[in-house]
Amino acid sequence: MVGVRVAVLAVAVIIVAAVAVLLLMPAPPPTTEATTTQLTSPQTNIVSLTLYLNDYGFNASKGGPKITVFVGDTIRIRLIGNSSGPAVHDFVLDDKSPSPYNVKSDRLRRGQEQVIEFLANVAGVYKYYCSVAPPAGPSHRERGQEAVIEIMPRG
Amino acid sequence: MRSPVTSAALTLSVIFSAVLLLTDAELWASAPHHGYGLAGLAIADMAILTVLQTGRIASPRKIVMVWGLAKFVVFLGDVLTAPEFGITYGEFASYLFSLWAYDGLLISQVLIIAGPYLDRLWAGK
Repeated sequence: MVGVRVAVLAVAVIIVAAVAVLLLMPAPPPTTEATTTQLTSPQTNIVSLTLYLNDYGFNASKGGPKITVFVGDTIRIRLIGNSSGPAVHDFVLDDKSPSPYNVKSDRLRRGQEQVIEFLANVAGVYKYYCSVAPPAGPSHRERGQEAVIEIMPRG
Repeated sequence: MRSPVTSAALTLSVIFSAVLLLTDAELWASAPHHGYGLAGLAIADMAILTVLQTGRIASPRKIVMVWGLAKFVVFLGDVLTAPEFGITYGEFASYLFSLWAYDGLLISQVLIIAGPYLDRLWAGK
């Protein structure tokens, strides 16, 4: 019986050691490639803005600025991770917005930056949001990290 | 039921682990390997609980205590991974301790460590 106890103890120590090694492994750095929608017209205005990805809002602790542009404009957004803890945040404008766009940035930690650019080619009022969500419980979007982008028709 | 206090503590540990795994968005978004590690420990908790109830180990006191102590150190030591997220130890500690399930997880480890002695008291030995 002592042998069994020693074996179980050894297995327990190995499991804990393995988990400790797993926990201390550094996470791979996020990629910095921007998600870009292909430009279709050479005659476009470029609308540039900066969004700080806070907990849990864009440039704010909840919600974010309303972005207003015209169809044909190119939107260039500089995203700056600005969470207060280990949280990461992103900028998403996709079918869940809902919108016809498919724009998704990397998930950024505090201090990380990314510039995304896409062409506003379909008019409408949409919601951009942070897509970080747990398997259950409130997502960042449900905590308020979403805001409006309005793309107005020209003329 | 064999070892009721230890069994309850192991059950609590599994429950708090499950709550963290299901509700902590940052766990999966920022450090999924922490999530896998926690899931592995919860599964091991369930395995130990099963062994405890089947009575396959005559005197599991030391094993359970070492297990609880090791997990307590690992969970508390998670704070040391703060640089991985680009934040200070204090900021990460503040975040972790703000999660009630994490606090419960630490307390349940203390209960696991003390469980065998409490079980003996319970049994009047």
